[in-house]
Amino acid sequence: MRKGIRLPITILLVLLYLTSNHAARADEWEEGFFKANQAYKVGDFQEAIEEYLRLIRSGHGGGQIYYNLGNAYFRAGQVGRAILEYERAQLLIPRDPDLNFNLSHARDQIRDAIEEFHGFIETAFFWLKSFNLNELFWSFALLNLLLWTILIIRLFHKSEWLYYMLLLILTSWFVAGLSFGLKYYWISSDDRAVILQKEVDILAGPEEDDTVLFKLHEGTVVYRERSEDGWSLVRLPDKKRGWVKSRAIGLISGVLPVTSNFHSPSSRQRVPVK
Amino acid sequence: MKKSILLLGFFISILTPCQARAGVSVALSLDRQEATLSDSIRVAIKVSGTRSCDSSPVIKGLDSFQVSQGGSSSRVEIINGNFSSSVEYTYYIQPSKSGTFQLGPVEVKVDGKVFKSNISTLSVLKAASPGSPAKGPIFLETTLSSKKAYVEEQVLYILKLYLKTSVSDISLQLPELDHLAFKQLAKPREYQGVYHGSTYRIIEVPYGLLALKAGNYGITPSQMSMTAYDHRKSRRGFFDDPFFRSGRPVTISSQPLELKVIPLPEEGKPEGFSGLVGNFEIKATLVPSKINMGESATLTVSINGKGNVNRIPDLKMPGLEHIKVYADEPVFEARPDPKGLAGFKIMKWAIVPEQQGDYEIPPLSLSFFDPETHSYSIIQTPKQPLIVLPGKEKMIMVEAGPGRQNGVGRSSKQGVEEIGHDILPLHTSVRNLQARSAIMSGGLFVWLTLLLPFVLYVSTFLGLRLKKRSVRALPAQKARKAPKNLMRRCRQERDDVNGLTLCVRDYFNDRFGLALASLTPDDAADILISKGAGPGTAQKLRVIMIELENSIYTGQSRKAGRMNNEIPRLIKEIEREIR
Repeated sequence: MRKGIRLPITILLVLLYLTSNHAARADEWEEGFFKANQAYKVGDFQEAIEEYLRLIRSGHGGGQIYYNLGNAYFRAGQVGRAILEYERAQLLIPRDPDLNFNLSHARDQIRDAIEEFHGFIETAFFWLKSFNLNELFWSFALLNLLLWTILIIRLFHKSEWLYYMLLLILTSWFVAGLSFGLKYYWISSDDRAVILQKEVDILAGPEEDDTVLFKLHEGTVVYRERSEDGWSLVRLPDKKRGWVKSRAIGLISGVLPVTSNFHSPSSRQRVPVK
Repeated sequence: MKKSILLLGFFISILTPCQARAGVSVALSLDRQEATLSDSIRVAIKVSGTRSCDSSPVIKGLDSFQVSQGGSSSRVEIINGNFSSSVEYTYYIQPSKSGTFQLGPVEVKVDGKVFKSNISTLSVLKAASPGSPAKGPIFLETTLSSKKAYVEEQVLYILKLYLKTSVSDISLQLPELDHLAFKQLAKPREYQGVYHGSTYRIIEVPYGLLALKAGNYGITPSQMSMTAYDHRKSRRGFFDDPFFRSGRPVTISSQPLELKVIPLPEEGKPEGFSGLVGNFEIKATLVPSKINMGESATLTVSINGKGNVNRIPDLKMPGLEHIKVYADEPVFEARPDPKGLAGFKIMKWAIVPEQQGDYEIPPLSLSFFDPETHSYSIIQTPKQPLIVLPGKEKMIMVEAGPGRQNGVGRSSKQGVEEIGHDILPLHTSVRNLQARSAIMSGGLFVWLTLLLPFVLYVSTFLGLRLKKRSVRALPAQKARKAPKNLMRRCRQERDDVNGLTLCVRDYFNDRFGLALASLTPDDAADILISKGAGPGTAQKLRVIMIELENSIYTGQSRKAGRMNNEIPRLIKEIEREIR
């Protein structure tokens, strides 16, 4: 074989191998997805939950999977976990109408009447909730590209319309950048957690025999301040605070222990955010 | 002239108040010396000798009377050339208790001086007992339709005003008692009637009285206030109108009444009893009673009756298998009637069967307490048969409101009623099931995406700057390389004088940044001197260049070899000098 032909053929073979490997993997998890959906349809919700969690652990944490997992938990009678998964899905597909309907419906089942707290950022940048991090990033990246492209053009050619275009894009770039940054900060500092047990005692301290301050019920969203030795200090929007066992809550963002009935307590899953 | 002076004197005398001030006197008079508790007595205070007082008169001894003002008038009289003036104040007093009272003296202040009146005596007798024929020209009577009633049973409270004289400005104050509620049932009715042989004009107002709590109630008298005009002084014709007559204020009271209110019996009280007391009837219609699948029928239930109608409950339709039921807003109307409060409530349901077949709409019942029979009654609608025939499947339009007519004709929209609650189904598309992105972890890809345009911009900017700088540095480079180039070319153009001439010219152009097309020996010498070379060196170069020119123009080339060596040596010397 001639030396000139050998290199392209090698590259082609490597590409083919990589593509086929990826396709095989895609087939594998798509099969898992269909299997989970099928289990849900026949009413085997626990099997469906297992399959969805397997997909998430394998790194396929799309919003649709969290949504389906929420549905499966809801059908299995675990409203707290359903809300937790819906909340996670909302970080990924915030404008999905089915998700918002189901989340609202699941929230209706909660026993505790706790007003949702809206901070300054959520109020001033009200659109942040409607976009996921990916969308905000790509908006910013596109505007960033446009901005620098116009600046490059202006190195060679300066005109009035380019100046106004620059002003417009600069403003949009600033807003998009700020939005992306805030969303990033909001997600990375999101300390919301959902009560997963039917009823939990909120104690004055991280000890079993501490005074019970109040009780919370499944599905209520609290804010976790910190965790110590299997206990978490949680806060309500009305500033009530107390300690609860960490296994009784599920963090919406960040790393959290999986305490599902279908998994070993030691396994951990990372909640993806886009 | 004399007449004018007299007239002037007359007007001055009228307009000067001190004229009559010398003899100020105050007189107190009553229109009667004896009165009853229901009478209104006219009190007149006449202040003679002045036409104005500093302040209103102060009457002593009115502690047991209700006083109302009747106005004041002033008067000026000229009798046989004597002027007199007076002010008269009128008051009406009504005794609040019986006895003998001393009224006065009245104190009046005129020009800072206090004048006192006489004292009058008034005997007040108790009012005539109810039912006594000795009643005055105005009296008020109240009656109850029953002295005993159940809680929330409607009792009629009839108020009658008997009049033998004209009155105006009538106002009424009903008794105010806790747990007792009055409701006017009709407008006041006026008619002629005879009371103990005397003809009266009677004004009658019916009220519905509801007791909200059991107990014995002493109903305090109702009070009516009005302006009465004395019938003896009334004149017929145009001036009979009260506007042209002066009336006196009168306040009259009715007799107190008693009402015993007993609680509703607990025995036999139906479950879910709404507290409805009275007499009611219920009717129901189902139209049409035969429909096709996909159509709707209307069940109308109306409750009619007398009593505390506001307690008529909204009936609930029980759940029906294979039938959807949509309720309309009930229509309620209370109709006050002289015989008691009546009213009705109409409820409608749209009945939409989901399957064909024969259905039966179950009876709807209503319970109330009937005070006449002293027992609870339960009334109910008859069962309504509904036949549903197979029909074309079509969209069912459920109409609402009073304009609904058997599913035909006008339609009105109603809000969508949620019947069930559940979550929405799974997402099955694999299109958007992408794996998580690396944005949150802030990987190289993110930074590259964001920084690449910036890097491109910086590169372009620096490239342009570099290019600009290169263009600017070119002459210096040429100047630096000029001697070397000259020497190299001198070696190449060994015997060519033309070539050597061009070499020198190019050296000058490159070395000094010039653009000369030709270079004369004098110009070259001048340039060298101007650039700092010594005159001797400049002269040497001038000489060499003259020789080169001579060689070119005479066609001799024999000395080119010597100049070939001379020129580089001389240039080295020039370079040393001008550096």
